[in-house]
Amino acid sequence: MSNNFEELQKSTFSLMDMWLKNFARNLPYILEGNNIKDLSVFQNEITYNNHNPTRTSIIIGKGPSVYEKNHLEILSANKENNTIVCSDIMLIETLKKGITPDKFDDFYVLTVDGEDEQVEFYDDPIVEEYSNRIKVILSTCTSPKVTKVCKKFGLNVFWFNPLIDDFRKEGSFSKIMNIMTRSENNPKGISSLQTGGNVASNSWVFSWAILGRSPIVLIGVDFGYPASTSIEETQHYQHLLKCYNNDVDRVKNGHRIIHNKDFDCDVLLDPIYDYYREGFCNMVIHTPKWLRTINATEGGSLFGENIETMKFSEFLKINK
Amino acid sequence: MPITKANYKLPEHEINVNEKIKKHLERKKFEDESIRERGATGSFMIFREEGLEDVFVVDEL
Repeated sequence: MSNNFEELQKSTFSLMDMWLKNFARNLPYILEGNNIKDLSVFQNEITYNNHNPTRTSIIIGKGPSVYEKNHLEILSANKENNTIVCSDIMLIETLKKGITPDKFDDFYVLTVDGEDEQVEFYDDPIVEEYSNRIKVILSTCTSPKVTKVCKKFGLNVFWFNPLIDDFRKEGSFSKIMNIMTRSENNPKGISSLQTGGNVASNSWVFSWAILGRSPIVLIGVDFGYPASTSIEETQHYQHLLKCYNNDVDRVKNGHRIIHNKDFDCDVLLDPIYDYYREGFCNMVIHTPKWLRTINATEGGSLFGENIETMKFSEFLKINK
Repeated sequence: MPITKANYKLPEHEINVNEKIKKHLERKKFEDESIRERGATGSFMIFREEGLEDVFVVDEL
């Protein structure tokens, strides 16, 4: 585990008060709501060991490659009825590009972050138009504003508790949240899920660990920038400056460039994407044998053990 | 444009701001700002505990 990882993990933990505040305000909805477990294919006799996946899942993130490579347009024109798992930030845009439940009847959107701003990703007439055919996967720590807009539109919400800490230890927040979500509907409490730290990783976990999908194809999940990007123009630069008391050198030293040999390109990582990348690469080596993870972003920082890489159009061609 | 639930804005509810509510609102503003200011650098925790590396879903804790 890198020092960078530990530092960011600690710093992220400082958002705990926001998560718990959200959790408390969502509780009345959670107690009467659906459990993510209701969507799981791993019930009765089906386990990770004997599962035989039959359907592809396509994860849609907002990385720059999704625009550079026109992946939404390519997906919209595709006729295969694959499962769509959309990060919340891409929901409205995805629907507007014609990637809708009319074409893809197995359509999910996820929210894991707790900020109030996430509500903007849902609050649009096109979301209301498709509300009865989109399944929304919400962390119990999500902003209550998101919960309210989902309720307003009549979206079908499924809850999960995010795994936060070691539930074997006394006083674990993960355990407490599980206990507090026990109800008549869900006597064992709401199931807990690895989030991977961000909505794209969370969508990947959900796709295989709940839906049992494979292969899982990533588009717009870059976790990095083209190496030519100036550090000042990167997504998290201002935020990092604030966190590091405007220490420009410290922020700059936290960046590094790696070579993606699969797509033969250099990728700039800021400390946050480095953290996500390390988390993802660690998760992907602990998955069942039947799972194929395909990076189809045609760039980005996700490569290595258990990650295949392929052009998106090529994948769609050979998986007809 | 047709009126839908998404574009229909309910009229703002006027709050009679007495001292108690004023204090409450100030406190709320402070809490929201301090969360934003402290600003964790990642969005969420990555669950990474020794011996639990292959745990992705837990149905009961």
